[in-house]
Amino acid sequence: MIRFKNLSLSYGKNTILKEISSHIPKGEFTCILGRNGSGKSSLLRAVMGLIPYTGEILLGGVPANQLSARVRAQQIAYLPQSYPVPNIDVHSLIAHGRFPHTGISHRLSASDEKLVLEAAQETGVTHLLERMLPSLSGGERQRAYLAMITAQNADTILLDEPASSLDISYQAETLLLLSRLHKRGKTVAMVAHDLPQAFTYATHIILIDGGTIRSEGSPSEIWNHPAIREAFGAGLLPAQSSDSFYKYHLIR
Amino acid sequence: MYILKRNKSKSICLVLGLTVLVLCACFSMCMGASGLSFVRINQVLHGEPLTAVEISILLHIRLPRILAACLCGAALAVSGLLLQSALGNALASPGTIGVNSGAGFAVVCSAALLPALPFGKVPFAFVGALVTALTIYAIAGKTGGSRIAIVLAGVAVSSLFSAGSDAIITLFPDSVADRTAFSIGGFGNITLSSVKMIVPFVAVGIIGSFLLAPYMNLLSLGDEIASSLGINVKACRFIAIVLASLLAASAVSIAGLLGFIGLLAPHMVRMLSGHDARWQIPFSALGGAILLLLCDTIARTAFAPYELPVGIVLSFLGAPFFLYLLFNRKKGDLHDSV
Repeated sequence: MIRFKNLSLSYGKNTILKEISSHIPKGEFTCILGRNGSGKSSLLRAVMGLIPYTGEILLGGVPANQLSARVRAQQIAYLPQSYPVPNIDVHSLIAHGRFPHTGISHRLSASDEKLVLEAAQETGVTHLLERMLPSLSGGERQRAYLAMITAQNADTILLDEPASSLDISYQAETLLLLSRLHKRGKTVAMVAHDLPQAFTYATHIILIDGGTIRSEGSPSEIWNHPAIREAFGAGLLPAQSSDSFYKYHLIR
Repeated sequence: MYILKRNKSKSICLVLGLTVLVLCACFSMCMGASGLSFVRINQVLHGEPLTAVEISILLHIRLPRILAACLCGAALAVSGLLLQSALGNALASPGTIGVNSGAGFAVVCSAALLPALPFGKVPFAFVGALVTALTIYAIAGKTGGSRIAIVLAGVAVSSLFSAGSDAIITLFPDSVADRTAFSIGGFGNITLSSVKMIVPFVAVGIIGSFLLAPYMNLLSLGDEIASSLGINVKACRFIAIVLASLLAASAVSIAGLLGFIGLLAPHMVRMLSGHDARWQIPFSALGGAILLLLCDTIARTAFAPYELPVGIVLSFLGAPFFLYLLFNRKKGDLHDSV
């Protein structure tokens, strides 16, 4: 579990989050929702120690800033919204996911290699293993990076809008993959801005607006919370038809 | 671009490269303005003894020069690779971002002000190189890593230190033996003792680079992912810059401001080594050594008995290549492919 206590984040004089206290529950699929600039991505970056903060972030009861980068990487995998596309093959990329678990020589053991291949299979990139990253489509590249964080085999996976730049089929694939990881006991938390998607796949929602947490709980508990309409200018309605792509529809 | 994917193929390629280096060294030993032609070598191989003059030419002129070219080529090539990785910029090299000039300025200062130091010029050159590299790193941070801004900053810093070096050489003409060779880079005044002086520094730099290689691989994934995979990105970049400065300083302290080798060699060998730093380092070192040795052999034989500083030959090769990198590659490739 990741717990925030009186957490504040600022960029210069601009305060993004004001003394929020909440948690990302262990074993849940959490979606962090909010408008652009509401601080949801910054929240994940603070957990990863990428930006300074005041207050406390506890990872499994231990203050995050007391953990070494390596120990943190063994516990939490993180995929930012954008990343460079280095000229390496997909196998090498996925193998980088094993880095926090390798010894001083950083060579892959047979079990590491097995996990790399399993991660490739899980994410459907086995046929791309020898391809160079720049030669892949955006969706294939995203799957390769998802394979890398799957190979990292951390208990908690944090993702910043992993489906936002993908077409609808890759979006569904990505979210189904995350659902599978969640069902296998992983704690998954992702920043999202697509309300119907988030309320369909997540088991826990955190809504951030105006620098504070406006609402949190399971989708069935908070789908009609007024804060959603206030934040997004739109509401949700449970889908009536079983053919519907998502469990909730967006309404005016 | 053909990338040798299998480690076995890369190992074979390295062995072949070493063989080429040895052959080039033998070739270079036989080439020169005076005596020791292939005909004479053939006579020696058939039992005719070497004269005292010939032994002197081989041991005191050609051998130190060949060793210096190999060491400086390897050092500058690995230095370029480290800087490209640390700055995320394929145009970076000790020559293009002014690290050589910083080291050169420190060498000239030490030679002018403290000429009789027992431990050589390398520590001073290292301080000069490190200050310059860290300045460029700070500028890179301020400009968001823009590759053009880094190169322009390098041009400015380089000009500043070159002006400083020129001023000191003018005021203290004895501070360098050959002003032109120092400014352009050359091996005209190399001795075996000066080569011995840089061996430990080059060894430390290259071994350190090997140890850093797995971390350098993660840097290519961007700071956020590299950090989330458990490395201290700032420390990693800092160590890369320190090692790059040490290697560049070692070369500059005996050969002057050799340009472009740190840019040419890592790019040329990348076609064979791929983008894994664990392979890039030995390939770059070997490629740099071969390239500089060949260029130096050309420099001292092309217009024999006149001799060009090797830096001139390097500039003829390196400047067009630099322009090629600047204009003909895809946007982003320069940043991402290092």
